[in-house]
Amino acid sequence: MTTYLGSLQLHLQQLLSVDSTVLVMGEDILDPYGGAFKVTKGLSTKFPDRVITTPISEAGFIGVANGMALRGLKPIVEIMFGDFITLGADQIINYAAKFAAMYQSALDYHLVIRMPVGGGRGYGPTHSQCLEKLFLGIPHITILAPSIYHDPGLLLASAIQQPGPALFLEHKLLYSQELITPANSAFAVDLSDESFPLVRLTNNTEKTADLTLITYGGALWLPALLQKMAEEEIWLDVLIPSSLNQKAHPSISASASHTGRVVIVEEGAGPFGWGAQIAYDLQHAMLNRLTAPIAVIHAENTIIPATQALEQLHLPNLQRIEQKIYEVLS
Amino acid sequence: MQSVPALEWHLYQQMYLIRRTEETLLDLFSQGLLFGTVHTCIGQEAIAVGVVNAIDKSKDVIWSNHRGHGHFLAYCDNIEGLIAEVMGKETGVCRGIGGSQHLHYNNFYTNGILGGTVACAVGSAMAEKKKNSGAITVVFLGDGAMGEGIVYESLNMASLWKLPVLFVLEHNQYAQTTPTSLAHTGDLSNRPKAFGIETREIKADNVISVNRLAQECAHKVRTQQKPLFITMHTYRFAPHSKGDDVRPAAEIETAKRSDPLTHLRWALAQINERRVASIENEVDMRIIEAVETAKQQLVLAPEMFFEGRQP
Amino acid sequence: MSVLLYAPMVNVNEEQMNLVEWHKQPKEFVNKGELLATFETTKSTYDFHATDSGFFVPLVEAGSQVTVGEVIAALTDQPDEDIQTLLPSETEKLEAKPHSLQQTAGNRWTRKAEILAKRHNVPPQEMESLTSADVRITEEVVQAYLQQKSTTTGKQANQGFSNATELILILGGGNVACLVLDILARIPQQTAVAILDDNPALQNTTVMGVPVLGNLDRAKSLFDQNFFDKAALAVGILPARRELFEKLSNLGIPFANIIDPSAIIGVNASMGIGNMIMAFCRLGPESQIGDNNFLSAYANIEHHNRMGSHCTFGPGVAMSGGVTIGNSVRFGTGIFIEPRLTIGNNAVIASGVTLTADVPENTVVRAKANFHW
Repeated sequence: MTTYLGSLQLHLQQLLSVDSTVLVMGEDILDPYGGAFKVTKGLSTKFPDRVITTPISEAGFIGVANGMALRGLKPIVEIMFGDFITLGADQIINYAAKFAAMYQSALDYHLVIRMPVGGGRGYGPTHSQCLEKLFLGIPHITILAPSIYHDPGLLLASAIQQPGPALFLEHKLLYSQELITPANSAFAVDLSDESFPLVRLTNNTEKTADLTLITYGGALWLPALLQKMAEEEIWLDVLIPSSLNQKAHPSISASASHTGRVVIVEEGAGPFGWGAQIAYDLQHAMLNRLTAPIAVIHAENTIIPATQALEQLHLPNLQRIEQKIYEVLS
Repeated sequence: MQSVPALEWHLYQQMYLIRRTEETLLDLFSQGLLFGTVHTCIGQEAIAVGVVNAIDKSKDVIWSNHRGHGHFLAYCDNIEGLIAEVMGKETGVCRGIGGSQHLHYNNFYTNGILGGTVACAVGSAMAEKKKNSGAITVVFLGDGAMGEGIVYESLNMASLWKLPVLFVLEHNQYAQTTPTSLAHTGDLSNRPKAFGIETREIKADNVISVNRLAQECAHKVRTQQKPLFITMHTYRFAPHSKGDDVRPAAEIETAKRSDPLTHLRWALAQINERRVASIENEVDMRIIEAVETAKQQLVLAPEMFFEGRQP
Repeated sequence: MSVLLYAPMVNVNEEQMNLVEWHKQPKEFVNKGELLATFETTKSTYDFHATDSGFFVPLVEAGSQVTVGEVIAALTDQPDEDIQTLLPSETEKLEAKPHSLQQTAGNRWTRKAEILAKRHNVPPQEMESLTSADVRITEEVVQAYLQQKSTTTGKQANQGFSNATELILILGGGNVACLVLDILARIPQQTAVAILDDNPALQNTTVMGVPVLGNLDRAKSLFDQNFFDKAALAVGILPARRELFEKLSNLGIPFANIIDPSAIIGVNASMGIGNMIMAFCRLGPESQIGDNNFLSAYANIEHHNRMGSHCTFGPGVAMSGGVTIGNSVRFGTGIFIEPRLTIGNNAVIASGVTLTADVPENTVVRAKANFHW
């Protein structure tokens, strides 16, 4: 009965107790408030010297985290809303992502920057975005986005234990939801072996899939989609990676070569996103196995409106994905 | 004739080493042997030498910037590694990959983006404090960098968290081609006071006095575990990088009259001219050899860089 | 005025919370501002104070989970007042649901059935008239209709009429794999998904766009993962072809027949599994071949021929009628065989032979005339 939030809280506690070089920093993270989304609740009480509340200086404190990481500590930085990551872009792109490569040195450098992302709560244009596309394609950063089918706390622990900087994206609508595992899932769920695993879901284990659906992160429309498609006899092979910019898991091209039809869904806005790259890789690997052009669904190419009805239309929603699936199958 | 402590000979040797290395690099550039540009610190050597020799090189951390050759040489004396690096060879201190502006060796770090290094320095200081290592962090920044917001975020955090950082502002009155009067308002040396940080100020034409002040400040930072900000007034005799000097010639000439090397050299030559010459000779030979060796060396093989960067 | 009380939004992230206790008794008069209830979220407890004065009518029990915005109580002007008029009607409740999915049960066809029908140009009215109105038209229904409508001719050399694509794993990534891929490129019902080969240099490459995913011993695990339906042995030489076939068959891996569309399969001709039949081959009427044979282009297995398994043919081998061939027989190129002869197991017929007599087992037959310069 663990929630997404519960897993993060648990693993942060464990990390801080087991490894004295790990520390946590960010705005408003001290108890009793415990962070805007409560992820750090309880930590400052137990580990007062390793939970650091910062002024509102994203660029500055990411820089401070960089300095600490170079000197052997393992900072886990919280950015209150993923939209604010732009303030720290220089420290991420020109510092964190470049140290090891430009110094050509075996630096034991660990840094995780975690942040809530995503829309659906009406927070408006600057508090609802998924901005990871700004960092996709910057070399030497690991970008992780655990879904509700992954164990976010476990992934966070792996992220801080591996060397190099990582961005860790938590869709804010997932926090209160219970994690879905093979034990409690309505649909067959499978996790691959890697430390940043790929999740595979299907709405029919007996029939061959008609279409491959690739997505990551929040994907709140997914259970309803699987259900609806099952009612329409459309069997989906759903693949959800937790790492966005590592080498694509072979299951993805394998599934796509089976079904010949692919729909990719991402919450980031506009074209030139993650889906475009996945589509490129697939058509490159297996063009003659595609029965239809690969479809990519992303948020609309404008700001995220605050008003609910329009926000629903803006973000990838069940109806749009459904229509695209029918299109691709036809 | 008063005897001169060993320290002053050492400081002179270091300044001379930096001066000659920088002049050599400018020369190599003109010969087309360097790829990319160099930002030399000619005229500002007293700061690098005075400050770096006031700290504990075995454990203290240094964050430098694009104009970092002087700091680097004062820290580790690695002429060979620096020249090979700037010439892009695999024997360079960062195998030719970082180049002039992105050097790293032991506890010495630099980066080419101004301002950000100050935040990293504050982070380093925080780490050392948490590790109880007793180390301090020195960060060198220029008047130009005082335009970046992150510098003020860093000053705030350094003071808020009582971190052992020694900020050294190398105020050479110009940021690239822009004089201070067109870039800043108020008094740069007083700004840290707004964050409750103690400030000091000195003209950096005398390496001994710079060194003494730096020792005093470093000691304070280390024992009181709080930041300190020294503004050092100086002037660079060479262009910002290469070919971008728009300053009036007369101004440069006037400034050269306060050349930190000239005065110390004169004082030391009064004691022992031959020793001075011998020091200079040794440095010159070393530089020539470093250049010749570097010329023969290879560039890092592509497969070493592009596939699995094992150092 | 009597009012309804609603569960407040306590925490932006939570739509559900626990109403831990009521602090007033039912029918008790509550003054505005008095403590009325305590809620609990995952983060904290929240004290709820009466927003109005009135006689307290609790509508949910203490200890229950409530949703933000749900009606939890009423405060009435008069004691024992009827609150039914205050409560939202059932229709209002339904309309208030912002995120309900469209009901799909009403649709006559499943989407899959629609798509399948469209693909095969099935007129929808015809299907609808054939099924009773209360039966939902599913994929199965459409498939059955299509099956019934199709003709079974010998031309369709692949077994059965199936809408599903057969996924083929190719074993061996050399030149023979190219032959196989060439054939598959012209057969819509079979698709190559991957190649396995023991050659380390081929790993993580592609052959004609198909990825090489590992060594031959990966076949079993891939099969267990449902990665492919059948295997095809892109190996043209003996004994390797037979040995691999037997080894993998023992592991339960099924083999596909790969037959070039230009091949002619005659009336009542039959074959086992795992045969590879290249372009312009012919299996004459009433002929039978076993498993795992490899026929290069222009092979003619004539009427009433019988052939075993694991035989390999170079290009241009022509049988006459009534010939019997055993197992693991190797044919070179440019061979002609007279009628009603028998060739025993493991025989080798070298290139250029015109066979006029039976060949015993394990015999090598060479052409009489050899040209050497």
